[in-house]
Amino acid sequence: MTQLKNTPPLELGKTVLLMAATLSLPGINLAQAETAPEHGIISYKYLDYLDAQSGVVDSASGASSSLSNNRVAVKANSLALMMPVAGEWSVSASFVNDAISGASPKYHSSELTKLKDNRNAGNISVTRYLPRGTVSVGLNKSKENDYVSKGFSLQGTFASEDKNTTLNAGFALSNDEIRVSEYLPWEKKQVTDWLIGVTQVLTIHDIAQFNLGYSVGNGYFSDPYKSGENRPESKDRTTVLARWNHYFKATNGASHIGYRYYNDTFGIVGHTFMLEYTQPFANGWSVMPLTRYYTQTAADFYIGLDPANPLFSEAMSARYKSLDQRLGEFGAWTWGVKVTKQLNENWLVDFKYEQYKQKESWALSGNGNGTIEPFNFRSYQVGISRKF
Amino acid sequence: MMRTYFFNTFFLMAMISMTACTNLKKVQPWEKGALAKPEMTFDGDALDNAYVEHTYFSKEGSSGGGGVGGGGCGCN
Repeated sequence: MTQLKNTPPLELGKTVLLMAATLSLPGINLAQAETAPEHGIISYKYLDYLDAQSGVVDSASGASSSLSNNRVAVKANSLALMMPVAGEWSVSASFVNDAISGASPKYHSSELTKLKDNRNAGNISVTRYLPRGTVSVGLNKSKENDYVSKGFSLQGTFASEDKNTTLNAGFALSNDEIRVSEYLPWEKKQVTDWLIGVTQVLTIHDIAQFNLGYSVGNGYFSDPYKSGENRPESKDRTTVLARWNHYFKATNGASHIGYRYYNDTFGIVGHTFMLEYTQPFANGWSVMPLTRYYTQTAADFYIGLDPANPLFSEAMSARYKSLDQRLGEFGAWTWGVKVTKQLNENWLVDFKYEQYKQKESWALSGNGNGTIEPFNFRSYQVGISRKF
Repeated sequence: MMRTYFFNTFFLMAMISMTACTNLKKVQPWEKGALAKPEMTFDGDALDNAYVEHTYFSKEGSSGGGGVGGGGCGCN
Protein backbone atom coordinates (compact mmCIF):
# COMPACT_ATOMS: atom_id res chain seq x y z
CA MET A 1 0.00 0.00 0.00
CA THR A 2 2.95 2.32 0.61
CA GLN A 3 3.77 2.10 -3.07
CA LEU A 4 0.16 2.80 -4.08
CA LYS A 5 0.09 6.09 -2.14
CA ASN A 6 2.49 7.68 -4.60
CA THR A 7 0.84 6.23 -7.71
CA PRO A 8 -1.02 8.64 -10.05
CA PRO A 9 -4.87 8.23 -9.86
CA LEU A 10 -5.19 6.79 -13.40
CA GLU A 11 -2.42 4.22 -12.82
CA LEU A 12 -3.89 3.37 -9.40
CA GLY A 13 -7.27 2.71 -11.01
CA LYS A 14 -5.68 0.39 -13.60
CA THR A 15 -3.76 -1.47 -10.88
CA VAL A 16 -6.85 -1.98 -8.72
CA LEU A 17 -8.85 -3.19 -11.75
CA LEU A 18 -6.07 -5.60 -12.68
CA MET A 19 -5.88 -6.93 -9.13
CA ALA A 20 -9.65 -7.33 -8.98
CA ALA A 21 -9.71 -9.07 -12.37
CA THR A 22 -6.92 -11.45 -11.34
CA LEU A 23 -8.45 -12.33 -8.00
CA SER A 24 -11.91 -12.92 -9.47
CA LEU A 25 -10.77 -15.52 -12.04
CA PRO A 26 -12.69 -18.74 -11.33
CA GLY A 27 -10.68 -21.35 -9.46
CA ILE A 28 -7.54 -19.27 -9.58
CA ASN A 29 -4.55 -20.76 -7.88
CA LEU A 30 -2.36 -17.86 -6.79
CA ALA A 31 0.86 -19.39 -8.03
CA GLN A 32 0.57 -22.69 -6.22
CA ALA A 33 -0.16 -21.29 -2.75
CA GLU A 34 -3.24 -23.40 -2.29
CA THR A 35 -6.56 -21.77 -1.58
CA ALA A 36 -9.76 -23.61 -0.68
CA PRO A 37 -11.47 -24.91 -3.85
CA GLU A 38 -14.77 -23.34 -4.89
CA HIS A 39 -15.91 -26.32 -6.96
CA GLY A 40 -15.86 -30.07 -6.66
CA ILE A 41 -14.49 -32.37 -9.39
CA ILE A 42 -15.40 -35.91 -10.27
CA SER A 43 -13.12 -37.79 -12.69
CA TYR A 44 -13.01 -41.18 -14.35
CA LYS A 45 -10.09 -42.65 -16.28
CA TYR A 46 -9.54 -45.92 -18.13
CA LEU A 47 -6.07 -47.39 -18.75
CA ASP A 48 -5.13 -50.06 -21.25
CA TYR A 49 -1.55 -51.32 -20.84
CA LEU A 50 0.29 -54.02 -22.77
CA ASP A 51 3.96 -54.96 -22.52
CA ALA A 52 6.14 -57.11 -24.75
CA GLN A 53 9.61 -58.63 -24.87
CA SER A 54 11.01 -60.79 -27.63
CA GLY A 55 13.29 -63.73 -27.05
CA VAL A 56 11.45 -65.03 -24.02
CA VAL A 57 11.16 -68.75 -23.37
CA ASP A 58 7.79 -70.17 -22.54
CA SER A 59 8.05 -72.54 -19.58
CA ALA A 60 5.29 -74.72 -20.98
CA SER A 61 6.72 -75.29 -24.45
CA GLY A 62 10.37 -74.52 -23.67
CA ALA A 63 10.61 -72.67 -26.97
CA SER A 64 10.82 -69.08 -27.97
CA SER A 65 7.85 -67.97 -30.03
CA SER A 66 6.33 -64.79 -31.34
CA LEU A 67 3.17 -65.61 -29.42
CA SER A 68 5.02 -65.10 -26.16
CA ASN A 69 6.16 -61.58 -27.11
CA ASN A 70 3.10 -60.05 -25.51
CA ARG A 71 3.40 -60.55 -21.79
CA VAL A 72 1.34 -58.59 -19.29
CA ALA A 73 -1.90 -56.77 -20.05
CA VAL A 74 -3.55 -54.43 -17.55
CA LYS A 75 -6.98 -52.90 -17.87
CA ALA A 76 -7.66 -50.39 -15.13
CA ASN A 77 -10.58 -48.18 -14.15
CA SER A 78 -10.19 -45.34 -11.69
CA LEU A 79 -12.53 -42.80 -10.18
CA ALA A 80 -11.67 -39.69 -8.16
CA LEU A 81 -13.79 -37.20 -6.28
CA MET A 82 -12.81 -33.90 -4.68
CA MET A 83 -15.39 -31.89 -2.75
CA PRO A 84 -15.04 -28.53 -1.00
CA VAL A 85 -16.55 -28.51 2.48
CA ALA A 86 -17.57 -25.45 4.50
CA GLY A 87 -15.28 -23.07 2.61
CA GLU A 88 -12.10 -24.07 4.43
CA TRP A 89 -11.94 -27.82 3.94
CA SER A 90 -11.90 -30.34 1.13
CA VAL A 91 -12.33 -34.10 1.01
CA SER A 92 -10.72 -36.19 -1.74
CA ALA A 93 -11.20 -39.85 -2.45
CA SER A 94 -10.12 -42.13 -5.26
CA PHE A 95 -10.53 -45.75 -6.19
CA VAL A 96 -8.75 -47.90 -8.77
CA ASN A 97 -9.26 -51.43 -10.01
CA ASP A 98 -6.52 -53.15 -12.04
CA ALA A 99 -7.22 -56.39 -13.90
CA ILE A 100 -3.85 -57.97 -14.65
CA SER A 101 -3.32 -60.97 -16.93
CA GLY A 102 -0.56 -62.55 -19.00
CA ALA A 103 2.80 -64.00 -18.08
CA SER A 104 5.84 -62.87 -16.13
CA PRO A 105 9.43 -64.23 -16.35
CA LYS A 106 10.90 -66.12 -13.38
CA TYR A 107 14.36 -64.69 -14.11
CA HIS A 108 15.70 -62.16 -16.64
CA SER A 109 13.34 -62.61 -19.59
CA SER A 110 13.09 -66.39 -19.24
CA GLU A 111 10.74 -69.05 -17.94
CA LEU A 112 7.43 -67.31 -18.36
CA THR A 113 4.78 -68.14 -15.83
CA LYS A 114 1.13 -67.31 -16.27
CA LEU A 115 -0.38 -64.75 -13.95
CA LYS A 116 -3.80 -63.33 -13.29
CA ASP A 117 -4.61 -60.88 -10.54
CA ASN A 118 -7.01 -58.18 -9.56
CA ARG A 119 -6.01 -55.16 -7.50
CA ASN A 120 -8.38 -52.82 -5.71
CA ALA A 121 -6.91 -49.70 -4.14
CA GLY A 122 -8.45 -46.63 -2.59
CA ASN A 123 -7.49 -43.58 -0.65
CA ILE A 124 -9.24 -40.79 1.18
CA SER A 125 -7.78 -37.51 2.40
CA VAL A 126 -9.02 -34.44 4.21
CA THR A 127 -7.40 -31.04 3.67
CA ARG A 128 -7.74 -27.96 5.87
CA TYR A 129 -6.99 -24.64 4.13
CA LEU A 130 -5.43 -21.95 6.31
CA PRO A 131 -4.66 -18.35 5.32
CA ARG A 132 -1.08 -19.25 4.41
CA GLY A 133 -1.02 -22.99 4.13
CA THR A 134 -2.69 -26.37 4.14
CA VAL A 135 -2.70 -29.51 6.26
CA SER A 136 -3.77 -32.86 4.76
CA VAL A 137 -4.33 -36.23 6.38
CA GLY A 138 -4.81 -39.33 4.25
CA LEU A 139 -5.45 -43.05 4.47
CA ASN A 140 -4.90 -45.58 1.71
CA LYS A 141 -5.35 -49.29 1.15
CA SER A 142 -4.41 -51.61 -1.70
CA LYS A 143 -5.46 -55.26 -1.91
CA GLU A 144 -4.46 -58.12 -4.19
CA ASN A 145 -4.73 -61.88 -3.66
CA ASP A 146 -1.14 -61.99 -2.47
CA TYR A 147 -0.44 -58.44 -1.28
CA VAL A 148 -2.15 -56.02 1.11
CA SER A 149 -0.88 -52.50 1.79
CA LYS A 150 -2.29 -50.06 4.34
CA GLY A 151 -0.95 -46.55 4.66
CA PHE A 152 -1.28 -43.23 6.44
CA SER A 153 0.03 -39.84 5.29
CA LEU A 154 0.34 -36.35 6.70
CA GLN A 155 1.30 -33.39 4.52
CA GLY A 156 1.50 -29.66 4.98
CA THR A 157 2.32 -26.50 3.05
CA PHE A 158 3.28 -23.05 4.30
CA ALA A 159 3.48 -19.98 2.04
CA SER A 160 5.44 -16.76 2.46
CA GLU A 161 3.44 -13.57 2.94
CA ASP A 162 3.68 -12.69 -0.77
CA LYS A 163 2.87 -16.34 -1.64
CA ASN A 164 5.88 -16.51 -3.94
CA THR A 165 7.57 -19.18 -1.83
CA THR A 166 5.78 -22.28 -0.53
CA LEU A 167 7.43 -24.82 1.74
CA ASN A 168 6.02 -28.32 1.86
CA ALA A 169 6.63 -31.29 4.10
CA GLY A 170 5.18 -34.78 4.19
CA PHE A 171 5.30 -37.99 6.19
CA ALA A 172 3.82 -41.36 5.28
CA LEU A 173 3.78 -44.79 6.82
CA SER A 174 2.94 -47.98 4.95
CA ASN A 175 2.41 -51.46 6.42
CA ASP A 176 2.39 -54.20 3.81
CA GLU A 177 1.74 -57.95 3.99
CA ILE A 178 2.95 -60.33 1.30
CA ARG A 179 1.88 -63.91 0.65
CA VAL A 180 5.00 -65.81 -0.42
CA SER A 181 3.45 -69.27 -0.39
CA GLU A 182 0.11 -70.77 0.51
CA TYR A 183 1.91 -72.92 3.10
CA LEU A 184 3.79 -70.15 4.90
CA PRO A 185 2.70 -67.20 7.04
CA TRP A 186 2.44 -63.86 5.26
CA GLU A 187 5.63 -61.75 5.25
CA LYS A 188 5.62 -58.12 6.40
CA LYS A 189 7.16 -54.90 5.18
CA GLN A 190 7.08 -51.42 6.70
CA VAL A 191 8.07 -48.27 4.81
CA THR A 192 8.32 -44.75 6.26
CA ASP A 193 8.64 -41.77 3.89
CA TRP A 194 9.65 -38.17 4.60
CA LEU A 195 9.62 -35.33 2.12
CA ILE A 196 10.55 -31.66 2.34
CA GLY A 197 10.46 -29.19 -0.50
CA VAL A 198 10.10 -25.66 -1.71
CA THR A 199 8.12 -24.17 -4.60
CA GLN A 200 9.35 -20.79 -5.77
CA VAL A 201 7.88 -18.23 -8.17
CA LEU A 202 10.91 -17.13 -10.19
CA THR A 203 9.38 -14.66 -12.66
CA ILE A 204 5.89 -13.88 -13.96
CA HIS A 205 6.39 -16.82 -16.36
CA ASP A 206 8.50 -19.25 -14.35
CA ILE A 207 7.96 -21.41 -11.30
CA ALA A 208 10.28 -24.07 -9.88
CA GLN A 209 10.08 -26.81 -7.30
CA PHE A 210 12.76 -28.65 -5.37
CA ASN A 211 11.96 -31.73 -3.22
CA LEU A 212 14.10 -33.96 -1.07
CA GLY A 213 12.67 -37.35 -0.12
CA TYR A 214 13.96 -39.99 2.22
CA SER A 215 12.47 -43.39 2.91
CA VAL A 216 13.30 -46.20 5.33
CA GLY A 217 12.01 -49.69 4.61
CA ASN A 218 12.26 -52.90 6.61
CA GLY A 219 10.89 -56.35 5.92
CA TYR A 220 10.34 -58.53 2.89
CA PHE A 221 11.61 -56.91 -0.33
CA SER A 222 12.00 -60.02 -2.49
CA ASP A 223 9.64 -61.06 -5.26
CA PRO A 224 8.14 -64.48 -4.38
CA TYR A 225 7.51 -65.24 -8.06
CA LYS A 226 11.18 -65.01 -9.09
CA SER A 227 13.64 -67.90 -9.08
CA GLY A 228 16.82 -67.76 -7.00
CA GLU A 229 15.77 -64.51 -5.37
CA ASN A 230 16.86 -63.20 -1.98
CA ARG A 231 16.98 -59.43 -1.53
CA PRO A 232 18.14 -57.60 1.64
CA GLU A 233 15.58 -57.13 4.44
CA SER A 234 15.96 -53.36 4.44
CA LYS A 235 15.91 -50.69 1.77
CA ASP A 236 16.43 -46.96 2.30
CA ARG A 237 15.80 -44.56 -0.57
CA THR A 238 16.81 -40.97 -1.25
CA THR A 239 15.24 -38.83 -3.96
CA VAL A 240 15.89 -35.31 -5.17
CA LEU A 241 13.36 -33.86 -7.57
CA ALA A 242 13.75 -30.56 -9.41
CA ARG A 243 10.97 -29.25 -11.66
CA TRP A 244 10.61 -26.06 -13.65
CA ASN A 245 7.50 -24.84 -15.49
CA HIS A 246 7.79 -22.04 -18.03
CA TYR A 247 5.01 -20.15 -19.79
CA PHE A 248 5.58 -19.02 -23.38
CA LYS A 249 3.73 -15.78 -23.97
CA ALA A 250 4.16 -16.00 -27.77
CA THR A 251 2.40 -19.37 -28.05
CA ASN A 252 0.34 -19.38 -24.82
CA GLY A 253 1.96 -22.78 -24.17
CA ALA A 254 3.77 -24.15 -21.14
CA SER A 255 6.82 -26.40 -20.80
CA HIS A 256 7.50 -28.75 -17.90
CA ILE A 257 11.09 -29.79 -17.34
CA GLY A 258 11.99 -32.19 -14.54
CA TYR A 259 14.91 -34.15 -13.20
CA ARG A 260 14.89 -36.77 -10.45
CA TYR A 261 17.94 -38.24 -8.74
CA TYR A 262 17.40 -41.54 -6.91
CA ASN A 263 19.58 -43.83 -4.87
CA ASP A 264 18.91 -46.70 -2.51
CA THR A 265 20.77 -49.07 -0.24
CA PHE A 266 20.39 -51.85 -2.81
CA GLY A 267 23.00 -49.91 -4.77
CA ILE A 268 20.70 -48.57 -7.49
CA VAL A 269 21.33 -45.01 -8.68
CA GLY A 270 18.69 -43.67 -11.06
CA HIS A 271 18.43 -40.50 -13.14
CA THR A 272 15.12 -39.45 -14.69
CA PHE A 273 14.74 -36.58 -17.17
CA MET A 274 11.24 -35.39 -18.11
CA LEU A 275 10.11 -32.93 -20.75
CA GLU A 276 6.54 -31.95 -21.65
CA TYR A 277 5.04 -29.08 -23.59
CA THR A 278 1.35 -28.14 -23.48
CA GLN A 279 -0.04 -26.17 -26.42
CA PRO A 280 -3.62 -24.87 -26.18
CA PHE A 281 -5.63 -24.43 -29.39
CA ALA A 282 -9.00 -22.89 -30.24
CA ASN A 283 -12.30 -24.40 -29.07
CA GLY A 284 -10.88 -25.89 -25.87
CA TRP A 285 -8.34 -28.23 -27.51
CA SER A 286 -4.93 -28.77 -26.00
CA VAL A 287 -2.06 -31.03 -27.10
CA MET A 288 0.84 -32.14 -24.91
CA PRO A 289 3.74 -34.08 -26.45
CA LEU A 290 6.10 -35.60 -23.87
CA THR A 291 9.35 -37.48 -23.59
CA ARG A 292 11.21 -39.10 -20.71
CA TYR A 293 14.61 -40.69 -20.35
CA TYR A 294 15.46 -42.94 -17.43
CA THR A 295 18.67 -44.74 -16.55
CA GLN A 296 19.79 -46.79 -13.58
CA THR A 297 22.80 -48.70 -12.32
CA ALA A 298 22.38 -52.30 -11.16
CA ALA A 299 21.71 -53.36 -7.58
CA ASP A 300 24.87 -54.63 -5.84
CA PHE A 301 23.48 -58.16 -5.73
CA TYR A 302 22.04 -58.28 -9.27
CA ILE A 303 23.28 -61.18 -11.39
CA GLY A 304 23.27 -60.31 -15.07
CA LEU A 305 22.72 -62.67 -17.96
CA ASP A 306 25.98 -64.41 -18.81
CA PRO A 307 25.78 -66.68 -21.87
CA ALA A 308 29.10 -68.29 -20.84
CA ASN A 309 27.68 -69.25 -17.46
CA PRO A 310 23.95 -69.90 -17.93
CA LEU A 311 23.49 -71.40 -14.46
CA PHE A 312 25.14 -68.43 -12.64
CA SER A 313 26.64 -71.09 -10.38
CA GLU A 314 29.15 -69.00 -8.39
CA ALA A 315 27.00 -65.92 -8.01
CA MET A 316 24.03 -67.94 -6.82
CA SER A 317 25.91 -68.98 -3.68
CA ALA A 318 25.88 -65.34 -2.46
CA ARG A 319 23.56 -64.47 0.41
CA TYR A 320 21.72 -61.75 -1.51
CA LYS A 321 20.95 -62.23 -5.16
CA SER A 322 18.42 -61.35 -7.83
CA LEU A 323 18.03 -62.14 -11.51
CA ASP A 324 15.18 -59.67 -11.87
CA GLN A 325 16.09 -57.45 -14.83
CA ARG A 326 14.35 -54.48 -13.18
CA LEU A 327 17.29 -54.41 -10.74
CA GLY A 328 19.82 -54.51 -13.57
CA GLU A 329 21.49 -51.68 -15.46
CA PHE A 330 19.51 -50.14 -18.31
CA GLY A 331 18.23 -47.02 -19.95
CA ALA A 332 14.68 -46.34 -21.13
CA TRP A 333 12.88 -43.85 -23.36
CA THR A 334 9.22 -42.87 -23.28
CA TRP A 335 7.43 -40.93 -26.00
CA GLY A 336 3.84 -39.87 -25.73
CA VAL A 337 1.11 -37.37 -26.43
CA LYS A 338 -1.91 -36.23 -24.46
CA VAL A 339 -4.88 -34.50 -26.08
CA THR A 340 -7.40 -32.65 -23.95
CA LYS A 341 -10.70 -31.10 -24.97
CA GLN A 342 -12.65 -28.74 -22.74
CA LEU A 343 -16.22 -29.40 -23.87
CA ASN A 344 -17.73 -26.54 -21.89
CA GLU A 345 -17.17 -24.81 -18.57
CA ASN A 346 -17.67 -28.02 -16.61
CA TRP A 347 -16.78 -31.00 -18.79
CA LEU A 348 -13.30 -32.09 -19.84
CA VAL A 349 -12.23 -35.19 -21.82
CA ASP A 350 -8.70 -36.44 -22.45
CA PHE A 351 -6.76 -39.12 -24.28
CA LYS A 352 -3.13 -40.10 -23.72
CA TYR A 353 -0.87 -42.52 -25.57
CA GLU A 354 2.61 -43.58 -24.40
CA GLN A 355 5.26 -45.85 -25.86
CA TYR A 356 8.17 -47.12 -23.74
CA LYS A 357 11.36 -49.02 -24.57
CA GLN A 358 13.94 -50.29 -22.07
CA LYS A 359 17.39 -51.49 -23.21
CA GLU A 360 20.55 -52.45 -21.33
CA SER A 361 22.69 -50.66 -23.92
CA TRP A 362 20.83 -47.37 -23.28
CA ALA A 363 22.23 -47.12 -19.75
CA LEU A 364 23.95 -43.76 -19.23
CA SER A 365 27.07 -45.46 -17.88
CA GLY A 366 27.37 -47.47 -21.10
CA ASN A 367 28.06 -50.63 -19.06
CA GLY A 368 24.86 -52.44 -20.02
CA ASN A 369 25.94 -55.47 -22.04
CA GLY A 370 22.76 -55.78 -24.09
CA THR A 371 22.33 -59.51 -23.63
CA ILE A 372 18.73 -59.21 -22.39
CA GLU A 373 16.19 -58.44 -25.10
CA PRO A 374 14.63 -54.94 -25.02
CA PHE A 375 11.43 -54.57 -23.02
CA ASN A 376 8.56 -52.46 -24.40
CA PHE A 377 5.16 -51.30 -23.37
CA ARG A 378 2.44 -49.16 -24.82
CA SER A 379 -0.42 -47.68 -22.88
CA TYR A 380 -3.36 -45.44 -23.54
CA GLN A 381 -5.71 -43.63 -21.21
CA VAL A 382 -9.17 -42.20 -21.81
CA GLY A 383 -10.60 -39.85 -19.21
CA ILE A 384 -13.52 -37.60 -18.46
CA SER A 385 -14.08 -35.15 -15.63
CA ARG A 386 -16.80 -32.84 -14.51
CA LYS A 387 -16.65 -29.77 -12.31
CA PHE A 388 -19.65 -29.17 -10.03
CA MET B 1 29.69 -41.67 4.43
CA MET B 2 27.88 -41.44 1.10
CA ARG B 3 24.75 -40.25 2.90
CA THR B 4 26.62 -37.52 4.82
CA TYR B 5 28.16 -36.33 1.57
CA PHE B 6 24.75 -36.33 -0.08
CA PHE B 7 23.03 -34.33 2.65
CA ASN B 8 25.90 -31.81 2.77
CA THR B 9 25.50 -31.37 -0.98
CA PHE B 10 21.76 -30.91 -0.60
CA PHE B 11 22.07 -28.23 2.06
CA LEU B 12 24.71 -26.41 0.03
CA MET B 13 22.37 -26.48 -2.99
CA ALA B 14 19.46 -25.32 -0.83
CA MET B 15 21.49 -22.39 0.52
CA ILE B 16 22.60 -21.38 -2.98
CA SER B 17 18.96 -21.60 -4.16
CA MET B 18 17.76 -19.48 -1.23
CA THR B 19 20.44 -16.88 -1.88
CA ALA B 20 19.49 -16.82 -5.55
CA CYS B 21 15.80 -16.51 -4.69
CA THR B 22 16.38 -13.48 -2.47
CA ASN B 23 17.74 -11.69 -5.55
CA LEU B 24 14.63 -12.42 -7.61
CA LYS B 25 12.35 -9.55 -8.56
CA LYS B 26 9.23 -9.93 -6.43
CA VAL B 27 6.27 -11.07 -8.53
CA GLN B 28 3.08 -9.21 -7.53
CA PRO B 29 -0.31 -10.94 -7.13
CA TRP B 30 -1.75 -9.24 -10.22
CA GLU B 31 1.21 -10.50 -12.30
CA LYS B 32 0.37 -14.16 -11.66
CA GLY B 33 -2.20 -14.69 -14.43
CA ALA B 34 0.11 -16.99 -16.44
CA LEU B 35 1.32 -18.85 -13.33
CA ALA B 36 -2.29 -19.54 -12.33
CA LYS B 37 -3.08 -21.47 -15.53
CA PRO B 38 -3.78 -25.18 -14.87
CA GLU B 39 -0.90 -26.26 -17.12
CA MET B 40 1.53 -24.27 -14.93
CA THR B 41 0.80 -26.26 -11.77
CA PHE B 42 2.97 -29.17 -10.66
CA ASP B 43 0.03 -31.33 -9.57
CA GLY B 44 -1.43 -31.96 -13.03
CA ASP B 45 -3.98 -34.71 -13.67
CA ALA B 46 -4.07 -36.86 -10.49
CA LEU B 47 -5.45 -40.04 -12.11
CA ASP B 48 -3.02 -39.78 -15.04
CA ASN B 49 -0.10 -39.29 -12.60
CA ALA B 50 -1.23 -42.26 -10.51
CA TYR B 51 -1.32 -44.57 -13.56
CA VAL B 52 2.05 -43.39 -14.84
CA GLU B 53 3.81 -43.58 -11.45
CA HIS B 54 2.37 -47.03 -10.80
CA THR B 55 3.55 -48.26 -14.21
CA TYR B 56 7.12 -47.00 -13.74
CA PHE B 57 7.16 -48.27 -10.14
CA SER B 58 6.44 -51.77 -11.45
CA LYS B 59 9.09 -51.70 -14.22
CA GLU B 60 12.01 -49.67 -12.89
CA GLY B 61 14.23 -49.55 -9.79
CA SER B 62 13.53 -45.90 -8.90
CA SER B 63 10.33 -44.43 -7.52
CA GLY B 64 8.96 -41.46 -5.56
CA GLY B 65 10.16 -37.88 -5.42
CA GLY B 66 6.93 -35.97 -6.03
CA GLY B 67 5.08 -36.74 -2.80
CA VAL B 68 4.56 -39.22 0.00
CA GLY B 69 2.03 -42.01 0.54
CA GLY B 70 0.15 -43.97 -2.06
CA GLY B 71 0.99 -47.40 -0.71
CA GLY B 72 2.78 -50.44 -2.06
CA CYS B 73 1.68 -53.22 -4.34
CA GLY B 74 2.79 -56.69 -5.36
CA CYS B 75 3.97 -55.43 -8.74
CA ASN B 76 7.57 -54.80 -7.72
